[in-house]
Amino acid sequence: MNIIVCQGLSKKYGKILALDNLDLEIEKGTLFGFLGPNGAGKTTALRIMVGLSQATGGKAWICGEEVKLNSSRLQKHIGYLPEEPAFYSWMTGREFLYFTGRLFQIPFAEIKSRADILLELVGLTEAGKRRIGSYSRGMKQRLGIAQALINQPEVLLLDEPCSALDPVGRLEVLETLSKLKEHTTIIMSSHILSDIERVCDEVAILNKGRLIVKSRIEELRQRYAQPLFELEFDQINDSIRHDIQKIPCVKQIFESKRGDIPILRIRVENPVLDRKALLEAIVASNMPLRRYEMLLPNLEEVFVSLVGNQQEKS
Amino acid sequence: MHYFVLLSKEIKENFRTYKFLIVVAVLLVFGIGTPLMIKFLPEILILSGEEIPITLPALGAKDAIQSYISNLSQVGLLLVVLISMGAVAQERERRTAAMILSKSAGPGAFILAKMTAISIMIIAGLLLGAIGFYFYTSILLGPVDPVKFTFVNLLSMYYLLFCLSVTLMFSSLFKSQLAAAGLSLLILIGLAALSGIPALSKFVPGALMGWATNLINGGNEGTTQALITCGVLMLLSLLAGWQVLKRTEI
Repeated sequence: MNIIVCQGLSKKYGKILALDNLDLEIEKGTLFGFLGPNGAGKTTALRIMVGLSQATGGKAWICGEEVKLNSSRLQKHIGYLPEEPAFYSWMTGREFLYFTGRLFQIPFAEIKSRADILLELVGLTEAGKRRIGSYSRGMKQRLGIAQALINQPEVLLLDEPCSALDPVGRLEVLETLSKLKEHTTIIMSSHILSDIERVCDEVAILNKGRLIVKSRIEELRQRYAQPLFELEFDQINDSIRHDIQKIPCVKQIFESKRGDIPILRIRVENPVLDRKALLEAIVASNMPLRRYEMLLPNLEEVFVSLVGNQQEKS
Repeated sequence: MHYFVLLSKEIKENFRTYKFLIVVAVLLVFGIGTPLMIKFLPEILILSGEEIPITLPALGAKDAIQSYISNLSQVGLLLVVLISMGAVAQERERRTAAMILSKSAGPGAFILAKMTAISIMIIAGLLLGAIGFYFYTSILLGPVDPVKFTFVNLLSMYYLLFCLSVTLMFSSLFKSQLAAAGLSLLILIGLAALSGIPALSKFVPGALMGWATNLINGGNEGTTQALITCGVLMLLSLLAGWQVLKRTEI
């Protein structure tokens, strides 16, 4: 069942097209990653979904509610963390959670118990008593995540949730998000590829406002990034290069070094079929091979390849 | 429901950021300071070392009330604009408005809560200032008619709340506090200047302060038209502010 549907969603700021005809369907219970370079349209898309920005074209639905500017009916289903969460510096962290809970008309006893749980979840139990004005950027980010969860939303929209966190904090937040997806559909935007790769089930890559691809991460790897074979030799000379180039299945060779050890990365036409042929050819040619490994591509390579292709086309 | 949650936040904010204290203190100082100034003006002039003797007519309670009305229509207006120019604009600029308005709180409740909380501050300040003025004037300058003085204060309060609604509208319209303040002052001073035009003098909000002065001078003629105009403009300003926020991307 699709909990989020976008049909031709567009947003223009003057002459600048920030979001261009976004078609998107997200299933309930998915941890969905919005990936893209700066200015790709990630924040714009999230702001439209939460009702803070008006689409100039297209329509969207979240939990069956049509997305409209300042729609309180829509917002009841959503928890939202903006890119740079802003708070009242005179409030304490706990007071802010109480305040947002009351805005969602949650009974006070329930707000209190949820605030306790959420402050513990984001590691602010003690700091919750302090004024937000004294919080660091990372603490504000954590409080931002807690306030987005106060209404136990069906859909959680997080704009760069890990941007201000240290590595340990990032890991904790990502683990929390993984647990939350059992009850909530989460959409997080990020330009930290490893974060998306670590927790997301599905990803959409945006560039210059356009959706380049939407796919499950595994499918994306299989579809867009061809595996490479990494070969490590004692030394590489022209004879080795020449012999490898002669192997029929070899498409491209990249040469690099890891420390002092020379490495060849080889792209073949069909990684499954050519895996054996390549190894047999190397063994037959009697090259001084130290290591032979098939490297699985990561999201970063997919991303760079897709965004790079787009930029070349434009 | 959202209105009461937001109102409670606004009131707490006004106390914790000392806004309430400042507004009440300023209006109290004006309330107490006016009769003191009237009473001791001759002595102040002598102490200032003026060589040319200035003969002042004997000033009494009526003069103090006139000065009080004049202060409220000028300094009061400025105070209202200063405390409310950032009410919405600053929240938009700091992006706290986006946090609130993404949580089911409608822009109507948002602006109405601000209007109520600032009104409470102004009314409390006016009340304390008026009490201070009444006692000091009664002691130093002679008796003050409590009924007329209450009416003067009610008219002033009504006028200042109108100024507040106009400033809130401009504060909703702009992200810049200065732009909101500048346009509010321009419109409010412009409207006050219109009371000089005989055909309009009975209708413009500034006529309320003229009514208050007239009352102190013994006249009974009031301008109920100005009361109605002021009420309608106040309502329209709030509606405009609400509609602007409803249609604006925060």
